[in-house]
Amino acid sequence: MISAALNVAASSLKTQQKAIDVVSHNIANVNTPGYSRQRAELGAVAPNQSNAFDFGRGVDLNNISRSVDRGVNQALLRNSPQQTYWNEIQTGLKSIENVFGSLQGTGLSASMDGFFLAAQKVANAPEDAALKFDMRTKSMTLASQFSSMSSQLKGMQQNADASIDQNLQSANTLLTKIASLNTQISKHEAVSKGVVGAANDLRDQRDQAVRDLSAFMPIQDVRTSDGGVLLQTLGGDLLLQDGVAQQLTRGGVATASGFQNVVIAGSNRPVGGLDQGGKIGGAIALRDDRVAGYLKDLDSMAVNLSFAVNQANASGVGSSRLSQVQSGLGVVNTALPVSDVAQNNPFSGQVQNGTFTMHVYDAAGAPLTPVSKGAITVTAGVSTMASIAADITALVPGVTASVDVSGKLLINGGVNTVGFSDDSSNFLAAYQVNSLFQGADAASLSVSNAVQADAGLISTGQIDLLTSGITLGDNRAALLTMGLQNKAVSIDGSPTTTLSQRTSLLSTKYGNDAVLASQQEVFFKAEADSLNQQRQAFSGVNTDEELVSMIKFQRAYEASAKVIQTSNRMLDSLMGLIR
Amino acid sequence: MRVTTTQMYDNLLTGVNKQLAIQAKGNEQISSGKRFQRPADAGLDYKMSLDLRHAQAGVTGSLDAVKTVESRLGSSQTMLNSMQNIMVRAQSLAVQQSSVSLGAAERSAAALEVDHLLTQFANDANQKWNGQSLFAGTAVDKTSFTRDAFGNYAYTGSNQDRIVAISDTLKVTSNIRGDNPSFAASFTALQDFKAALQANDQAAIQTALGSLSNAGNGMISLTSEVGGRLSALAVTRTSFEDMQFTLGKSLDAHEGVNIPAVVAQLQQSSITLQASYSQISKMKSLSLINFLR
Repeated sequence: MISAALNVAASSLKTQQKAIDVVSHNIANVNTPGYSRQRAELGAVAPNQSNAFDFGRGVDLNNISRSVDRGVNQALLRNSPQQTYWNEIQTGLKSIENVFGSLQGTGLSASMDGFFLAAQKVANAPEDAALKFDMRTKSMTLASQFSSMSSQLKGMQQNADASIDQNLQSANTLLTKIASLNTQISKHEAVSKGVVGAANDLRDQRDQAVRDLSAFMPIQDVRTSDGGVLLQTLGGDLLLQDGVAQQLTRGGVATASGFQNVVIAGSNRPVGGLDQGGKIGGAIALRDDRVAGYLKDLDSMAVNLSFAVNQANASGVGSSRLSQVQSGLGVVNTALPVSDVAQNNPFSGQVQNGTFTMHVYDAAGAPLTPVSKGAITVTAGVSTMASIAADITALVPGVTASVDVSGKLLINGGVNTVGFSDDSSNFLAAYQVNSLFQGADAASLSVSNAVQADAGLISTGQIDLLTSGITLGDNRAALLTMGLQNKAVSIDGSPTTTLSQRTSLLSTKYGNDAVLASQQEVFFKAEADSLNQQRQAFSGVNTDEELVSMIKFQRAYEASAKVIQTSNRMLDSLMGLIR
Repeated sequence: MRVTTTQMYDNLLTGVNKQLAIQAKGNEQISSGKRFQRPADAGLDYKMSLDLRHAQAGVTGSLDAVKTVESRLGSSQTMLNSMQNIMVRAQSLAVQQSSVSLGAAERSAAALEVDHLLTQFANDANQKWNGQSLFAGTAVDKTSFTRDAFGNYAYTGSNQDRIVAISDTLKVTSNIRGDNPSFAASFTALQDFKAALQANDQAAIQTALGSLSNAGNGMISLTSEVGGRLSALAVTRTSFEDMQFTLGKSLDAHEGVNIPAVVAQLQQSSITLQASYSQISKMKSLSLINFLR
């Protein structure tokens, strides 16, 4: 019977030792992300029946269980993609905040105000050459602000796109890792069949990997009856089953903003539900929604500014005139009418039935005799660049016009100079003849080459239709330019608002987006903090708890050792009787 | 609820980060004197700032424009006053020379003075301001009046006024055009007076007196008109100056930071931060490990 006591004590020594191993494992992983505390579940070994009594056979380790709250884990899976989605947007928007200026330098808004203030000064003293230099400088600053903003925003789109690629790589690595863990867990638990939860640490690693994956994209996590995990996107695309993981890549049809979609390798169909969360969704939203929206507004502002200012400038005249005039924009197809939208010119749709008058001046600056002027008729849907060039050539002897290789109109006055007035067809403004600005969008907007070379070409007055006379102090064209500051305009289907309002609305739109992203990020971060707290409360390791457990198991171990010592003495006593 | 040390550290760290964010924002507000700096700080507030600044830029442009008009009209008024004085002197001469007691020699000498007055009047009428003809309308690079071979003066400026845009809705005429009948009447009256003196024609001198008087009245009316316009402009200027002041005040009130409130918040946050740091430091000794021997 003494040997039974020894066996019981020995079982206790082994079991307490194992329990201390569990405690040690917990303490070692106190800071391991995703680790769930484990608990040694002890149980009495089935007794031996002897005579009418059950004699206990000691203690054994029945199970090592891990503390997991599946509800909290699921909530974390839902929270994580939202937090990273808004964080990605918030970080991206923060990185472009300098594009929209600050109160110390309000950027586009200040440049726009500066441009119109300069236009007002020119309007009020059109004869002053210094003021025209100032207006040219302000025009260049404004145009450069547009192109710089456009370039920075496009750079942000490229960065967001590159970040999608990086995130896809990380997501693919995680998918492979989860698939591998699925296989390992399955094998491990098959070997130790009957011992529930034997693959605790592997399961923790898999749960953590799934949570990590959810930071990249929103996923649905389906647990199979054999302990495996099946993952799919919110759009229902299967990402992983058992030990097989799909890989995400770029391809298929390009998005509206011209970037490649995300597809599952081997398929051309865009992955569904990616845009609803996660770092990848955040980068897509940033690239295709937020930044693309700002670029659209910026381009719209640029084309409206350019066309409206050019309308005033094209039918006006400054203190200088040119003998050779080239249009800022050309046609892509000389056979198509200039009003055709297929001309790849954002203003071609503005060309309408009407006329413009060309005036010719001799080398001394006097209206050419015997013919100094003539009207060119433009018919929408009919007139082509070549027909307009031919009409100009036939108009006044000594002046020829042609269409160059880039589809631009080239007017050559020889020793004479030319001026324009009364354009009711919008042709001059649409193709940027005698214009202040050139370019078809925010990126390409610039001050026309001619005005860059001679600020005197900025139109201030208008040519007298009857006499072709020009007066230096005439400010009718400049007044039209200045009046655009608070005039509602829209040529591209955008809401009709003033240029100034468009500027402040763009900043406000960005500001509101940034504030919303920041608020959402704070909200989901707070939710994540709370969920992590809950997870910690349930699954986290408390070192005090573990130390108390350690003392308990240590004491039990010492007590069992004492039992062995006592039993040993008892055996010694028994042996003494024999000796 | 079960609590782990990780939870406590995480909580403290979250609090520290929050307080540091308050410190960073408060410091930025105090150093800049502004409640916000960027659109991302306050979208709608930033828009209001842009709108107020846009209005300020407009008022600045309007005040510049008012100054331009005042300067042009002021110079015109000076010249008109000078021309008016010439007409007064001519009238005074006409009264003297209409006396029957004066002979051809006296009138011939007076004719020389009238010729000088005529030249002076023409000089005034062709006066330039900043290198631009004052009375030539928009033909600022042209001489307002030219003298033909017969000594007659004719208006050679444009028939278009110089309009100044004070704002996109308020446009004013900033000049007096030489084709106003008062100019021609004055030239004619002076020339006729000179001819009457040279001809020693007392009756014609009497007639010239009437013409000079009428032309002089015309110049007075013109000068008064300019004076009236300048007075009206002074009202406009005052109104824009008031607007500028009000906008500046509104902008300060809108963007300016409430320094005492921010300082109080910073102080409060500073105390919280110090307490958090102290607690983090103490946490390391609040474990069973420290008591196990």
